[in-house]
Amino acid sequence: MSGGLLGLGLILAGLVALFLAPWGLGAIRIGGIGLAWWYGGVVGPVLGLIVTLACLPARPDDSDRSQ
Amino acid sequence: MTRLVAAWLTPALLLGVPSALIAEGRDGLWVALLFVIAPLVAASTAVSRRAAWPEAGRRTFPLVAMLLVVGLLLWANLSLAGDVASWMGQPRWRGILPAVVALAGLLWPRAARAWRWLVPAGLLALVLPVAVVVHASHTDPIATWSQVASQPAFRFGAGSPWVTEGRALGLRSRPQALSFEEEHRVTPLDPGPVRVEVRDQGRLQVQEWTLAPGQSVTLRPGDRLQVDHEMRLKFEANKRVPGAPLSGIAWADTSPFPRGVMLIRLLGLALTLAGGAVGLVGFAAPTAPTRASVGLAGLVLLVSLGWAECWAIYAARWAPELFVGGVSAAALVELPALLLRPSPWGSRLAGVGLAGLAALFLAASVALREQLAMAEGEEGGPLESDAGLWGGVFAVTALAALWPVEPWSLVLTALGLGASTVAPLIFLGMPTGRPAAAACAVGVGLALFLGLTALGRLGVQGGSVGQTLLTYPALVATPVAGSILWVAHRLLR
Repeated sequence: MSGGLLGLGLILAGLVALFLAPWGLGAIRIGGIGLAWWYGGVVGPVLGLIVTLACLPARPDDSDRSQ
Repeated sequence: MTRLVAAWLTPALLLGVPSALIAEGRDGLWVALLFVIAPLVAASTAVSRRAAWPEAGRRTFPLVAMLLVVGLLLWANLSLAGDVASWMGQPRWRGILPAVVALAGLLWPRAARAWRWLVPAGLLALVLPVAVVVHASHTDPIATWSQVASQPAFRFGAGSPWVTEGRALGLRSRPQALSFEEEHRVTPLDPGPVRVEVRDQGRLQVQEWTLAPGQSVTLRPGDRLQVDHEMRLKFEANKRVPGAPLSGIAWADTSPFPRGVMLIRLLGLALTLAGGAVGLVGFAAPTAPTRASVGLAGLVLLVSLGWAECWAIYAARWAPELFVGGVSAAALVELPALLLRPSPWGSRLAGVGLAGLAALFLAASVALREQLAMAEGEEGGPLESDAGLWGGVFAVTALAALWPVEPWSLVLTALGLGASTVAPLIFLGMPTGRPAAAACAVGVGLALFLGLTALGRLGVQGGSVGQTLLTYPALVATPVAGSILWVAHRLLR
């Protein structure tokens, strides 16, 4: 499995962990919003993009726009 | 990558995100996160697995599976167009026909080549109503979320159209029932029988009345109003919205499912959406995506997610009546009109949003068509040769869309089918020299997926875990198809 896929899997697992965490960890309010909402709605998606970009191998020919 | 994101932003899938956030609250976050992560999984897979594709893409069986996936996605969107027409009080064909005519226009090659401009135009048309709604409500999304999460109950406002003029229920093909948590006087506006499930000393009774125009029925806590045909109803102001969560905290911080069932649901959704995204890339990725294309696609996904979250939060705060009878994607289109009433600008902005969704639908349809043509190995000149095939696909899906089917369930079926058939081939690769093994894996995945989907549609009951497996058949079909391929690879070593 590539590093990118592993990273994306871990990001998904983070939200599951917040859903299942004891003492309502995911419901803790930070800046007025629940921790699970920050993670699932903002941090997780942004982190996913960063991880994917970081794990993409550099390509000598970066001009191919067909994908 | 551009094509994948354009296909991914298909309205039935895009509207599924705010629908899930409104209807499921915290659990809907899983759909929101997957909406961005699943295409990124497909992009990462395109990098690591592309060597296996050129040979596999020219096999008939995987291409048929991919055509089914694309056809189901088109069906979902045309069904959504029909739902929007119904929601506006028009017959379904009034929504479906313009969409099919516009699609037919895209069979003209010169029009089809301009599809990439439709994505930014569509997104702009969607973001504009949200910006106006945020400005008009004088609260930012964070403050609005806090207000929703702290309110003791979701109640009808005095100016809600469900209270002042009454609204129709019964968009869905299946009968539904409205559950009432407190005493509530409901006035049916159409003649016909009204059936109410009443619990009396633990026994369930169904009472039926035929009311004269203007007469109302009072429902007590625990009663359920059966809606088995389209029915216009008026509700009472300041009463709890039937079908809404018990409170803002229940919406924001809890799940209605036991932990085990919730975990299986999360896994099923993840496998369906991520596997479906990989299936949409299909065999059409002879080169790896570049950083620039992934970055741009990721930004488009993040903007779309931001739009969906704002749409959901403002709907839950200012239009809780959307909970009535279950949140439907078609009803969400009306949000600006509900929020900005009585200003005429609300309806105009709803129209702008609808135009944006139409643009995204057209872009997604051409992207899916190109994706399939690329998988067939027709890169560069696919759009002239397959007009007949696509004309047929449009006609069949348009006819199917005349029957109301929940668009989100069709999206899940399409993506689940891709996850059960095409995705295992892409992850594990074609077993060289054993084409029959690949055909067998795709065939078994397809048969299992369709069989379990049919059982689910027929209403077969199997406990909460069994029911979840029937809702997400990819949970069974994908591992089985993958196992066949894995064994074939092992035998070849």
